[in-house]
Amino acid sequence: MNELDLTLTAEAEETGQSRFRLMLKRFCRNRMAVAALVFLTLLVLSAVFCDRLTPYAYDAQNLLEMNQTPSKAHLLGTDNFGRDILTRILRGARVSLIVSVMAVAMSTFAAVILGAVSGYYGGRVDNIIMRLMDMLGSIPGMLLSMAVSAALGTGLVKTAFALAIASVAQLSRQLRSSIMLMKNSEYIEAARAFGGSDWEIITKHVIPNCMAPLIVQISLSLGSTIMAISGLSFLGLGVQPPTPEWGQMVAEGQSFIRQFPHIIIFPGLAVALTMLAFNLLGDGLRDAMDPKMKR
Amino acid sequence: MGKYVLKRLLMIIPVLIGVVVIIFTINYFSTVSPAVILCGANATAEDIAAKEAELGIDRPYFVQLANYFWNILRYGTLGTSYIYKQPVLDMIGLRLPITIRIGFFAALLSAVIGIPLGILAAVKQNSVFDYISTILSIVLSAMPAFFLCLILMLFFSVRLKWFPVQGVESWRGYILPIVATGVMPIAMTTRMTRSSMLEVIRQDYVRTARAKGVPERTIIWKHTLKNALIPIITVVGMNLGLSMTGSVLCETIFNIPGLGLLMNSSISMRDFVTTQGCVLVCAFIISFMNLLTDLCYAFVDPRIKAQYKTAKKPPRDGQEPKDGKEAAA
Amino acid sequence: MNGVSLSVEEGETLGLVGETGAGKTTTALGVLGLIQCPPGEYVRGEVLYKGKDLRKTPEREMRQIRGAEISMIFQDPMTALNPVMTVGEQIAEAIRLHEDCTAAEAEKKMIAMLEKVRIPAGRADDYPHQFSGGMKQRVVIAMALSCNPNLIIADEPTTALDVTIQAQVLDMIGRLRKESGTSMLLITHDLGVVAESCQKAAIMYAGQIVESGTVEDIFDRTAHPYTQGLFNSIPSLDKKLERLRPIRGQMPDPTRLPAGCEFAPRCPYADEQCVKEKPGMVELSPGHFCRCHHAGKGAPLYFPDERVNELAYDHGLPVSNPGNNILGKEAGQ
Repeated sequence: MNELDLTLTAEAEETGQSRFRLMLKRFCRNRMAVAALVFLTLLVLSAVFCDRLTPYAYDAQNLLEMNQTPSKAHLLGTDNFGRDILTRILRGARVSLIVSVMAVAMSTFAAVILGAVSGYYGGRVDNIIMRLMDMLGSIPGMLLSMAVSAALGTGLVKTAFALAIASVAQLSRQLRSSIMLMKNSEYIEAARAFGGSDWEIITKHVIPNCMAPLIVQISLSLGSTIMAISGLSFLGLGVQPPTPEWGQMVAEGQSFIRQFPHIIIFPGLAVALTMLAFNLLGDGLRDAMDPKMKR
Repeated sequence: MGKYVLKRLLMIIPVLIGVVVIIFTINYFSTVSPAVILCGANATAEDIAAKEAELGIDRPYFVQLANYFWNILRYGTLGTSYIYKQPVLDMIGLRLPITIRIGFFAALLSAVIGIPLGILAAVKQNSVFDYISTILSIVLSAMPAFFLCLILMLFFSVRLKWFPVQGVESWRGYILPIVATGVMPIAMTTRMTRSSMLEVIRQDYVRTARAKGVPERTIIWKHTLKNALIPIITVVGMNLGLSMTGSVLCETIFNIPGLGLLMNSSISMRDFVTTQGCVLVCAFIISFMNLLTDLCYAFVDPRIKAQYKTAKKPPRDGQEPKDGKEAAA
Repeated sequence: MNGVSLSVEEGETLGLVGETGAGKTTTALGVLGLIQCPPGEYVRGEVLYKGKDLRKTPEREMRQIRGAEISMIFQDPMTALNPVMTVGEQIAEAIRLHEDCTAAEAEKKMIAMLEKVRIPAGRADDYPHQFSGGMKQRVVIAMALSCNPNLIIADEPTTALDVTIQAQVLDMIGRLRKESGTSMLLITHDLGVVAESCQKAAIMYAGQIVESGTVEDIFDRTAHPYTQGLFNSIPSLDKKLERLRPIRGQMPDPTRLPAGCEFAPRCPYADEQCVKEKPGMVELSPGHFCRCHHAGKGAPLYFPDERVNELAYDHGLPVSNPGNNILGKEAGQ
């Protein structure tokens, strides 16, 4: 507990508010993080309702309206097949969000298990798991995803799996170290002294106490996964046409960069903004939940 | 110290073996056979089977794996590319220098720009400069590599025509790839330097130095920076490792014949041997950079140096044998 | 922090006593102008050193004073030394900064200082992590004394150390102080230390000095209820006690100080005036000051049922009936 945390507890006692509400209050004070949250909420909503939001279908080609610059009819212009770029970006958000949520869920699940077992038991189990993670970790993440994606073939779940593998090593190392720190703390000792079983201690004490850094990490990984998906798709190893995806849209527009840069700029900006929003959200959550971790 | 370095170098070997096994396994279970790609669309099943036999990929898992390691140990080769029919080692040898050149200068750029910016932002905390550099580094670190490359290309090559659109025939060709590879590391280094400096400035020993009457400039450069260096070194080392293994996206966009482009083509063409060789080299570079990073720690922090020397954990305060002198004194 | 007024004459030692969080360290840092701004802020007041107000002294001159004329010994030697510089370097740095001498001379002086604090010269090239807590504190002391300052501020110099080493370190500070005739502001929460090594003492509560005077004034003619409370919290060897009588409750939050006397919520003598009005400093005898409405009037000393007080405290009720701790102690015997 540091000073801020103490004042938080004191404030909570005095005002009768729960720690959660105070966390919320602190989060709301961070304007950037709130803006990021609003942006992401809008993104999710428009990804869900994208079919109703625009009059165009994402794959409707219109050869009369090719390569149009932004106008009233097409807010972000059209691409080389005359497809509405805004519609495709919104539709692409759906793919990116689904894949990144799946990927992060997979990697977090694996990392929680690996990290918890490794950090809690230590010794030989820890050694084996960590050497494995060293091996995975010394392959650049992008390469690993590319290789797995090429081997498995394409498809949303397969792409998500390829991305998940690349981030397991880092995530489980982080979890392991925070669990190791916690393992030696006094309240775990106390729980053990009261005769709690390993399972009980891990599920009731260790994991809940790792939640704060984990949630922050999840937010940050969602952002970097979105970036990785677009990178993979850009190289043709991720989401396949005709399903639109931001990176793939940029790749398609690449040959027209001289004449029609808007075709690549808008989807590129979409990736950048989403990643930025997830990063800001992660930072905001971190500051709200655990001021100690403030960097 | 020498013993420690040797031990760490030897520890890289099992990691590399593991990396090869991982990549080999991924490739082995590939749904698309390289033979299919090599034989083209009109190939018959016999053609493909014959091609697979020729490449040796119809043999059992362990035979292929053992064969790969045997080739490394006995002949020092990494096999022959399925597609280019050239020794993989030669192909890598030709391309690696280009990638390392770009990666090294990008990492250098990140250190030369990122560290001073971070220090300045920390010293002038909450100033306009601090806000601008913080916002810039957050925004820039959210830029996807391919987008950044294309934007740079659009402005400096297409519009301004300052640099070639692709290739590295002259030094001009290197500029944009180096900048594109360097942007993310610069942003990361700036953020890490700033937060690490701020962390150290709060420490008691900096207050002690102030109470001694040490001028502010000396406080920053002598007392704070050296203590703040460890996380900075970690980031710079990581960037060095990552950018020297090549940015696949950047090399693909600027059409640079480096390791990244080779990896991209070998992965998409299912040229397994080449992929394996490239990943092996990357893993070696990254492991080696990790080792260098750890060695740099020792030059900065005497506590870590002591740890390397004895290869044991450093004694905790108050527990070392020197305590005996305490009573005598 | 307000209402702090301290004076240290040449060659004397003033003890500044108070609970954790009373503002002792802040006072010390304030003297040296080392409070981080923001969040800290100097509102008003002056720090007079040899007739000069340090608050108005420009930073450049302040640096000449820090370390050379006023130096500080910190609470926690574990964190007060720079881990990446050798201890010799750290001591020599102070000497080089303030004394017009060559590197070699500074080196010589540094080694002499180390020997004064009984650390062998050969260890000058060692790093702080190679030293034990007590030795580190001696290095800090050597650093603070290296330029023969006129005033040393020792901020709980022994709190972080083992009990066995505490006395040793205190003796060393006292000896070196006497040798050089330096004045000292000794910050502590240990009244025993004050009795042993100070001539004057000041008691601090919630950012204020509540009582100050000579050690005899404070110990034998205790005037403020808080000071009395402090004495009651110390176990005594020669009096048999059933239990100690700690001061109940907690220091008020510095951002939400009570309207009246800061100590009123915890004071057994508190009455209506105390809750409403802030007391001023009263001079009881020359040099003996006390910040209490009841000071000097002869404290009302009668003993209500002890349990009534206890109950009231436990339920967070204001205790309006005066009780007496110090005499309650005798009643308990």
